[in-house]
Amino acid sequence: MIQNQHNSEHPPCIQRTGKILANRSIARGCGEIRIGWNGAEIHPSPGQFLTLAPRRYPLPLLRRPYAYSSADSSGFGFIYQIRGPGSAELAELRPGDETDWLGPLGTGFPPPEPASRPILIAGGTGIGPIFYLAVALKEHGPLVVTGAREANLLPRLHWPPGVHVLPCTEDGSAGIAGTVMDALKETDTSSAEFYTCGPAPMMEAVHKLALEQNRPCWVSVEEIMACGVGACQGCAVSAADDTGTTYQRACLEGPVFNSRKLKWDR
Amino acid sequence: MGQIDLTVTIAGKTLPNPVGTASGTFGFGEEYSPLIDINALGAIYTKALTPEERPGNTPPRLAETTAGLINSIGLANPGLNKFLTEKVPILQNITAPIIVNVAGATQSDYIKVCEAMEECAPVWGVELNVSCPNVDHGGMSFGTSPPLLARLVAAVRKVIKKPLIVKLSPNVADISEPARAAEDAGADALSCINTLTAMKVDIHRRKPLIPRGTGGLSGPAILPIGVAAVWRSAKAVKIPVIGVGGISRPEDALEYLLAGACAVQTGTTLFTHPNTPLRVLSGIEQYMEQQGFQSISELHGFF
Repeated sequence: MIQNQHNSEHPPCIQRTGKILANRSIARGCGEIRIGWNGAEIHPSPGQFLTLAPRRYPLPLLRRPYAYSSADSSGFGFIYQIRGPGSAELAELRPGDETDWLGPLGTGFPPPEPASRPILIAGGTGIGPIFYLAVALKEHGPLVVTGAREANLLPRLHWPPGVHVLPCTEDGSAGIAGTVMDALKETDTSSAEFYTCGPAPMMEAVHKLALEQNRPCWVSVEEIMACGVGACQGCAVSAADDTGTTYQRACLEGPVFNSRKLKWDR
Repeated sequence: MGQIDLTVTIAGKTLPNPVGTASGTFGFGEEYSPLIDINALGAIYTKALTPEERPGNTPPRLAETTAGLINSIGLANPGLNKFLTEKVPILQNITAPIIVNVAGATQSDYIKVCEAMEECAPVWGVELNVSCPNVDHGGMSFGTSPPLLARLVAAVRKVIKKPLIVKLSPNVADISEPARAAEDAGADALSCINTLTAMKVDIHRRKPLIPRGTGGLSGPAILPIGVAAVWRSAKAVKIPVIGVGGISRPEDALEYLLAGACAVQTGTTLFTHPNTPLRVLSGIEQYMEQQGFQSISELHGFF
């Protein structure tokens, strides 16, 4: 189900036109779109992403990257948050509308080490790739810790049996009162393999916890991208390196990285 | 009506058609091969190549603006040795002409890379990058000073017989001056334009979005600036001029050709629509057919 692309070649990406199957709100300002394959079925790995062409090019100009939140025989999905001109036009999409997608792109999450317990931590739209990963890892009994400021910002998703979900809200309006890190303090993480996607401060906190526990940690970063295929070097992220001037491309070597290979003291 | 001739001749060598991919937007060719028939391109202008490997500038390196994109990549590239051992074996399998964009901090940097390109079989020609706005040394400082540019082009000319194209900067008062300087020093062609110095300010953090402050603006926003630069350059020199900057559609490329360009490069737009160069090419062909043009050179001289 999950290929370990951290050691292997990527399958080639394709660009196709797909029809919107559904576009539903899953939280305030947050939606999930499903798109049909229209004869071009591919098998993206959790953590990989697609890009969508802007419908009114050149405003905005660039394709926007979205991590897959699902992919099955009927089509694929992703979760978006309305934040700018790129995502605003997504909210307008209706079933039957056509969209220009390009994928699968990037390097996804590797499978967990034997005998480790996958602990998945999501914030904001980071829930998209984390949801897809949790579904792929359901046989491993993953724990998903998902955080938001308040209840109506927590995405409403249909989690499969086998996935344990621990919602947290900062105002205590749903689930555990506090941040995902507060929830993790109450959790046995001694055999964890951490997977996280969300705001950088949250991912950094998870990375530090993984260091303290001496457990593996995989982070999926979000960067502004231009080409998405490794050509332009625009989405560089700083790598943990003594020289301080080594970069990795979020679109090709990433977006998923071993957290120990990134520079965090930015 | 006769067959339309889409070929372009520079220094006696032929490009199969007038539409290439601009340096910095297309890597070293292979990145886009799953998405576009790269061998149908008129030319592939590679990412800039310097003697030593360059990691590039501190991120963030990109800022989107209204119909434009500011970049500050900083000439990130694998360096000459890795180019020869890792990229050349891939380039050998590409039949489209490969034009290597050469950059450097000093004159000897340019000479070192150009000497290697002269000996490198899969390389069709060289595009001298004297117009990068995102580095502290070299780059744009050559392209904005006609005397410095003349000295550099003359020195490089001594080591390279392959077609030598000089990519000019729009960050000058009158582009015809560096255009003439490059021609007089022995350039075979010019490409106009590289990116424009530009800044985007993050109003919440109250500082520029790009750590260096400024970057280079590309994309549809700069099309009219590029067309004017080509028109001025083409009036000033006898060597061919290649138009680059803001081409999204066949009509944009035709503006460049009518303004005096012999060929064009598409860049930023192919991030969004990878097939842009081939769509532009077929649009040019269609226009020429409908309007009764049989060669690219017939498009010149209307104004």
